[in-house]
Amino acid sequence: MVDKRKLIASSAFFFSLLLFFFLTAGISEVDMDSSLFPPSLSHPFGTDIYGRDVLSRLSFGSLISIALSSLITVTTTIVGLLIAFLMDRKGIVSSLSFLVSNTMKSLNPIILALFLSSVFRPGFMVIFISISISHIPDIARTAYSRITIIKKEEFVLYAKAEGMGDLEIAVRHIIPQMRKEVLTQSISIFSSSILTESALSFLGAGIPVLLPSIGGMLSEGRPLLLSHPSLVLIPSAVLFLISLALHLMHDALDFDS
Amino acid sequence: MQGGLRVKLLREILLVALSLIIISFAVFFLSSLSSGNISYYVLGDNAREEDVLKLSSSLGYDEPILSRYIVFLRNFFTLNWGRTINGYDIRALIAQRASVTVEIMIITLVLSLLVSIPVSLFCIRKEKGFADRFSDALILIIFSLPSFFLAIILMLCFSIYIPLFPSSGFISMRTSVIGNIRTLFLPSLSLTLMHSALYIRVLKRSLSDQMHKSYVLGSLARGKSRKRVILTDAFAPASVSLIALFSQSIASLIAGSAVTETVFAVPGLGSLAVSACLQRDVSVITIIMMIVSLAVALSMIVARIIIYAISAKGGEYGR
Repeated sequence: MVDKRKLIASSAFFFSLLLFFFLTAGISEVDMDSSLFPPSLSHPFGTDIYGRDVLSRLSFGSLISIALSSLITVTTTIVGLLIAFLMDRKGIVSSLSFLVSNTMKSLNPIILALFLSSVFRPGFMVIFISISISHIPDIARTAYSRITIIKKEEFVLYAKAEGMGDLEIAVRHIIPQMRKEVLTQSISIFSSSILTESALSFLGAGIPVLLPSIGGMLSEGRPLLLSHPSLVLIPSAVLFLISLALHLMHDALDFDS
Repeated sequence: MQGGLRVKLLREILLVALSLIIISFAVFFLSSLSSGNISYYVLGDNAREEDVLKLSSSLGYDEPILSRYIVFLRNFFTLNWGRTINGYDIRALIAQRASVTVEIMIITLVLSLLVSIPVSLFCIRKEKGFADRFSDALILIIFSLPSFFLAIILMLCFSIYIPLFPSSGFISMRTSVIGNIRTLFLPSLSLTLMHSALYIRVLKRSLSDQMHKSYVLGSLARGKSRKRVILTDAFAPASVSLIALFSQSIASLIAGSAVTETVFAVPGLGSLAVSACLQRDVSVITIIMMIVSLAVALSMIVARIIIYAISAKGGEYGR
């Protein structure tokens, strides 16, 4: 069951955050003269140790993070659905796709990202690959368990008897029937990839230091925690709000089922 | 029925073992990609071509890939792990770091169970009651909190404003047992909060599923009180869902506590992985990757065997 009111409210919450980021994002140059200014009209959240405006960096970083996570979510969902349909095939194809899904499932995104970024260079590609890989099995499992149920339904059997091809049945009958489950899972992947990405940026293996990122701002602000707590608290609060909006959306979709 | 279950279990164990082989090969292959860089790293950037080739062949990089893979596996399983960039013995380093991580893991798992089971039982006494809704809201907040933020808040509260625990560092158990527990308490507590939130959510959901099943309704109709039915009838089948979760927790705690360990400056496996990554020390991180994958695979197999044992014992638990 879907709680429509809650879904609308949480989506409105998320999109107003997004709008806020769009309106306030900007590139802020290093200016050592204005280092660590308190909040003022020109710098609503103050400036960081290099004199950069916290608000514009924070919004820009959030937008990068949201864009990257959406890309991860879309890729994960498509590949996961593909694997789920392959699992439903017979023989070696099915076994192989179970094997692939199981292999991906046993990888931890953070350790994988740390490993990949010490072998290659840390950056977007490493974040993208390591977070996607560890979440593809989630979609695949969810979709597969739905497919095994839906394919026994009468409308699917009827379509098959009419001579409809497997691909057409998948697109026209099976995918629409598992829209809700897959969407719910995608949203939880979205929020978890935002959190994982910021954790990686915090650890120094995430988004390149030259670009703003919430995790990077947190690791810069951490030594100043006692003298300037806002440098840690404000980015954390923003991350919390994004993640909260997504969790509320997830719960609205997954209401009491 | 029994035979079918056994075949399924064997199939799943085979799947885990095969995926371990794939992962180890991928890890080996990727880490050997950077071998050229290691030669340059050792000899310096403007090394002569023949010196690089000589070093590469002395490290065994010109042999066919399969035999190198077998050597890699043999070295891994005979604990012949080599040295870090700074010249430390990797085996000794990892043994020391892993013991800290395992300690944190055990404290976290025990605390999480101690917190989540009573809380879920208490909340489920009255579905949609105050405790139920309140815990739902709290869980939502904990889920949305970034892990380092939770760690930093705990550190601010319990070691800076109220100085009960040290804010960072580690005292080994041999030096002082109490000091050891004090240094590991805050990192474990912050991990416990995250894990028990997940446990409570899952356990509450499966308890409430069980409470609507016909055998529970039957017990209620026979006049057993709701409290007793929860404990005697619903809890055991509902706790099966915890077992799969438990193995996932072990998997994520072995490595995923990297952030928490870094914030509290605890010398565990996760913070070792982070520092190895920042130093581009591929040999250390390769070993960590292998250990973590092995541990995850083992915990998955154990969880499956336990679930198999339970579902073989009583049919109604398995579902």
